[in-house]
This record gives sequence, C-alpha cells and structure tokens, in this order.
Amino acid sequence: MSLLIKNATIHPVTSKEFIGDLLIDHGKIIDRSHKIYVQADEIIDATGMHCYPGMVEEHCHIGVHGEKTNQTSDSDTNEWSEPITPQVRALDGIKPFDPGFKEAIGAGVTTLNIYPGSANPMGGIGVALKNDLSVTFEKRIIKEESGFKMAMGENPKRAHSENGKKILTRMATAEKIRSAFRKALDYDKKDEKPYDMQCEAILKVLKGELQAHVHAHQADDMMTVFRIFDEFGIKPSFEHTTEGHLIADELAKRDIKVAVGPMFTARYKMEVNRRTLKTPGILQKAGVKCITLITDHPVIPINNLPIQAALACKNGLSEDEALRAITINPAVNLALDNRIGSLDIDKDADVILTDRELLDPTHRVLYTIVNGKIAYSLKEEGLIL
Amino acid sequence: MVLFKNGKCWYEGEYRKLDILAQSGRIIEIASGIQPEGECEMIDMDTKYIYPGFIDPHTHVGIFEEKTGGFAGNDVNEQSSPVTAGVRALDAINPLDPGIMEARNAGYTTVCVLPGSANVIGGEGLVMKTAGSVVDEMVVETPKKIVKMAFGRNPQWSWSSRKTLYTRLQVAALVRENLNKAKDYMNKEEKDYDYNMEVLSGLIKKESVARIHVANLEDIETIKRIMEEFDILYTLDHATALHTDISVADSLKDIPVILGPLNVASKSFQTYDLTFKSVQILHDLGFELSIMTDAPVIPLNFGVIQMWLIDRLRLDRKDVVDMFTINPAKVLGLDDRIGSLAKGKEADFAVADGDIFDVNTRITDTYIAGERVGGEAL
Repeated sequence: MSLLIKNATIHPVTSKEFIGDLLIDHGKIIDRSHKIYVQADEIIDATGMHCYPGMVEEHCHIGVHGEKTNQTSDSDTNEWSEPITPQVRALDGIKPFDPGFKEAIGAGVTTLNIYPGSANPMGGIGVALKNDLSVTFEKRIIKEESGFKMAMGENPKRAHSENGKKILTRMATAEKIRSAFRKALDYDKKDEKPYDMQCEAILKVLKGELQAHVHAHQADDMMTVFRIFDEFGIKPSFEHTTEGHLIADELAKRDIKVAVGPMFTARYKMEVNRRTLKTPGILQKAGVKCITLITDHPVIPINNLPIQAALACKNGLSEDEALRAITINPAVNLALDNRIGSLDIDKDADVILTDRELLDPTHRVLYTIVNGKIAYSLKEEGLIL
Repeated sequence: MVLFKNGKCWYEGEYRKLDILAQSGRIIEIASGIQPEGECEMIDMDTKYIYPGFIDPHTHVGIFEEKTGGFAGNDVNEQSSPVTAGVRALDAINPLDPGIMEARNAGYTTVCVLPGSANVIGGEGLVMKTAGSVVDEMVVETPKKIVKMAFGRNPQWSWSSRKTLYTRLQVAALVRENLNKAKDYMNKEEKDYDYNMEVLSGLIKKESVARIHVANLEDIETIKRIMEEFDILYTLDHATALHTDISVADSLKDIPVILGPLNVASKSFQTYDLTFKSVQILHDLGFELSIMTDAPVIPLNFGVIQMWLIDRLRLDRKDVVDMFTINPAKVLGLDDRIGSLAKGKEADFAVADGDIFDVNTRITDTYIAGERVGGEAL
C-alpha cells in the first residue's frame, strides 16, 4: 500500500524544509524530493499544507492513569505499596481504550512513551508505543522496556510520608536509591541465589542496558542524582528539569539528555516555583544537545506539545531546536531515532499534515499517518479538541 | 490627560487605527486624529495593537496563591461546613500572589475571584482589578453581589470522607433547606443577625447572583429546577456537559454561561464531556459565552492559549475576542465600565506588539485606568 503526499511544505526536521513530495510504501518513507513521478495507491494533494514527522511524546501517563474516570479502580500510575518498585512495568497497567490515545492521534502525536508515576524513588519501567489504533495493543509496542523511571524531590516525600511513613525527607529518598543499587550489585556477585525481580530490573540500569529517567525539578535534586549515579558509574537522563537553567553548564558538561515540561501548570508545589519558559533556550545556549519537551499528559493535555515548543521558541530556543524537541530529540532520548522522529528515507512513515505551521498554536492537524496508514483525517472525523 | 496615539485598536470587532484620549482613568474620546486641548501626555502607539483589557470571570487568584507550597497560601475552600455563605473571598485575598502579577502582565485587567467548589454554598466572591497592593482599593463594585455555589461531584467528593454529604440528593436538599431558612429569616421581625442568612436573603431579593459551579448535565437540570423554584439569578460556571443536550441548552439560553478551563486533560467523570467543541456548539446556539481559566488551574499568563485553541474552531475572531472581554463584562454586570474600547469606559488596555492570535506576540504594556501597570508577558 503506497501513499504519495504531493506538493507539501515538507519539514524533515533533520534538514531544511522544502516544497515537494513524500512517498510512503509498506509503512516506510521511501522517497522525498521536489517531484516524485510514480503511481501510488493513494495520493494526498497537500498543496498549502505543512508536512512534519509525527510528534513523539517522551513522557506521559496515557492509559495508566485512567482518563475521564479518576477512579481508584482505574488508576495504575503509581504502585504506592513500597517506595522501591523497579520490577513493575507501565505496560502491564495500560488500558488500550483510554481516550487519551485518540486525543494524541488528533494532535499529531504518533509515538507515546508511557512511564509509571513519580511517587516512588524507583517507580518501574516505561514502554514506548506506536499510536496506531488500528492494530491490537501488543502490535503497538515498539520498545517494551523504554526507560527506568525514578523520582526525586517532593513527590516521593509526599507520597510515602502519607503512606506508611517510609520516606519523610529527601535524605531518605537518596538512601533508598543507594541501598537498592547496592543490593542489586551484591545480588549480582552471588552465584547461587533465589530470583529477585527487583534486583534483576535494577541490574539492567547498572549494566547500561536500560536508561534511568529521573523525575527531578530542583537543581539540588539533580545534583543529588549526579552524586549517587557517579558512585555507581552510571549516567541519568532527566525528566521535568524545571531548574535546569540554574545548572545548565553542568548538564552540558555531562552531556545529559533532558526532558523539560510541563510548563503551563500552576505552581502548587514548591519545587516548580522557579519554572520558566526560558529554560529550554538557556539549556541550548549552554550546549545541552538533546532537549526534549514533554506534556506529562494528563498533567497538561497532549495537544499542548507543539504549543510548548512554540513558547520555548519565543523565549530563546531556536526554531529548529523547538521542532526537534518534539520529534527527533525525544526519539534520540528513547534510542528510537533509527525508526522515528524525522522525515528521512527508510524511517517509519509517521507523518502529519497541518494547515498552518506546527509552531502556530492555531494550526489544525489535517492528517495523522502512522506506519504509512492514515490514522486520523480531519475531514472524516472532525476536530479532536 | 493621556493620548494613546495611532494604535491599531480592537474597536467594534475589527482593527482600526485610532487615537484614544484618557482622562481620570476613563476613555473620553476614541477617534482618529484627536487634537487634545490643554496639557496632554502623548504615548506613541503606532506599532502597537490595543485590545480592551482581558477579563476572567472565574478565578481563585489571591486566595489560592501560587508558590506557597500549598497550605500556606490556600484559602480557597472553607471546609468547616458545606454551607459557608457568610465567608468572603475579599478577606483572604493576597494581592501579592504572583498569579495576579502575571495576570496583569498578560493583559488581564479585571478578574472575578470566587471561593472554591468544595462547599455547596461557598461564600461571597468579588471583582477586582489586577494592579495594586491593597485589595480594598482594587475591588470593583458590581451591581449585584456574587455568591458562589457548587453542585455535583466536587461537594460530594469533598464531604463524603467527613460523612456529612454523600449524594447529589443531599447537595440539592442543603440548597433548598438554606434558601427556605433565608426566606423565614427575611420574614422575621426580631432576629439575631446571621451572616449566612443575610447573604442568602440577597439571592432571594435578587440583589445577588448565584455563580454556580457545575459540570454534569443532571446537575445543570437540578440547578435549573431549584433556581426557578426560588426565582434566583444565576450563572452556569464550567457547564462542561451543557453542549451534550441541545434541548437542555436551548432551555437555558437566558442564563450566562462561563466555559472552562478547557485546556486541561479530562481527568474525571465530572469532566467526561470536556471539549473545546462545546464553544462552537453553544456559540452556534446563540450563547454569548465567556471563557475562564479557573486560575490558578490554568495560570492567567497562559490564558491566551485557550484563545488560540478556540481559534482552531475557526469561529469569527471577533466572537472569540468577545469571550475574553465584553461577554465576561456582561456576566459581571460591568459592561458599561469595561470590556471594550469605547468612550466613557475605563482606560484598561492590553497593548501588544502584534496580533493576539499570533504566538510570537507579546503583551508589552498593560494599562489600568490609563496607567501602565505591567506587560512583557510570555
């Protein structure tokens, strides 16, 4: 099944935009040039439209949190039973019919990375999904274990001071993490041992097989992560990075991948008091190479992903980097950039067409194409908003 | 006198290059080529867009303070009883809440501050301008006093753990009971002064308007039933599901509707029907809608994002701007004073370096009563 997109303003993200055609076959981008002369099964005349890679949401909780219900029976974001739950996986709690998936498709988000929540210092393992609602859930998985979710700061403290008084201070959060790493190392040294699922999961991180993504807002929390991770010879990626602008040089020097956001929330928590739209721009100027923007849906709705990019751009992030921050950078962050995140030949055909530029918040998504198939069309389904 | 010279003014629903002459905080003339007589300061607006100051008819700024870590600045719900008609938002507002500063920097010049929605009858709200350090000087007198009420899930959820109130049945019963008590109170010659009853009597006498938090359709119908029974002036705030039943919506066309916050994820049953498309449906039915942020639910400096998202519906942009200016002014009974650039109205402006629908536009200057109070937002 081939699909030819004709005469669009094509934004490959990894190279300069141009007006031309994009050819898709068997779910992949097979050609991209000013004029493509071939017969295709389906043709979209995209004159006047803008064509981008499908957006990648590196950090959300769609499917695990229970959209539109908020009932305990439906909420699987945080496994509160213990502060250290590295053995659990978001994948095992996802409701495939959660309406958030459809919202994401309507917004042009074609890959979703879904993490457990931030109540636990070690919260479990995330999963990356292609947002292709036409196939059964198992077929949407593109990375079964996409990242190891950890959390610092107020959330673990609040969650576990209320719940059994297991953590009352940041000191205990750090101690719990250190102890868990140490225990896993000791476990690894033993020849004969009973299977320990927690240690097995943590060892993947310590051996570099699974990247730790650490929820951290404040600069001091990020520095604590460095202190601990240095002791164990591993490197973190950060989620939220709210005070990243205060330690931008450190993040650049260490070549840390950062995810920034959500940036439109109320500042109820102290740890987000110094949040600013300038953070991504400051990080870029300091030399941080891989800046990703995240909505943390449902914290802010997933259709705000490009709006955050637009406002980050307005406040100092370059326009190129703003687009990269919602496409190729999250793909790099998830080590999926060989498949997704740009309109390059041989990549998965995850493509969106918009009537105005993506960084104009008044744009409408006209088509969302996932794996070469039209997954959403404004004409057919109307606006999803 | 101050002359705002040659700005691109949002005037009667379109851009016009006009001069605005302000004196003593009011617009005394708006026309092209004004030649003021006497001493006059001139501000060149040639490169600027001038909008009427934005109005949010439903917020909690000042009583639900940001950057306080929660408890310290949280005075939004007086959860000592589900009926606290006698408490006043005015007595808890901290004008130094950074949310208020950001509101005025973003071009919001007037906000209505209401108690929260945990209580069935939450207390009195108020309208204020967004600049100042003494709240009493910021307050704008409204023709009707404002009483916050809430139906549905929020009071249920807030009170069930205290075993005071479990169901919508009891929410409705509490409203009826208290309104009937207020009637008795009004009819008594000799009585002890009762703050709750005084406030509720105001509703019966139509000296006040009930601003009612509601999401679900069944609650909207209950509100209609009770308010008609007691002949009370009211508004529907949030009204999340109103668009889902055209016949119900049609029967409520005379009631002011304040939609929002819309740019939030649909997290609960209460917001099951949340969609920007409600704006289109109700607008097409003829409602003059207003849009709230419910700040700090959406901080006011991000309020403009809702305007951009509503623009995806491709309504007439005049009607969209009205939802943030003149329509909320009407809800508050203040459309003779604020909400548009017109002779005799207060000189409250959001001055921008571009079109408000352009993401790269900044609010460079905010004026309240002709004085620059902020700007450079986002």
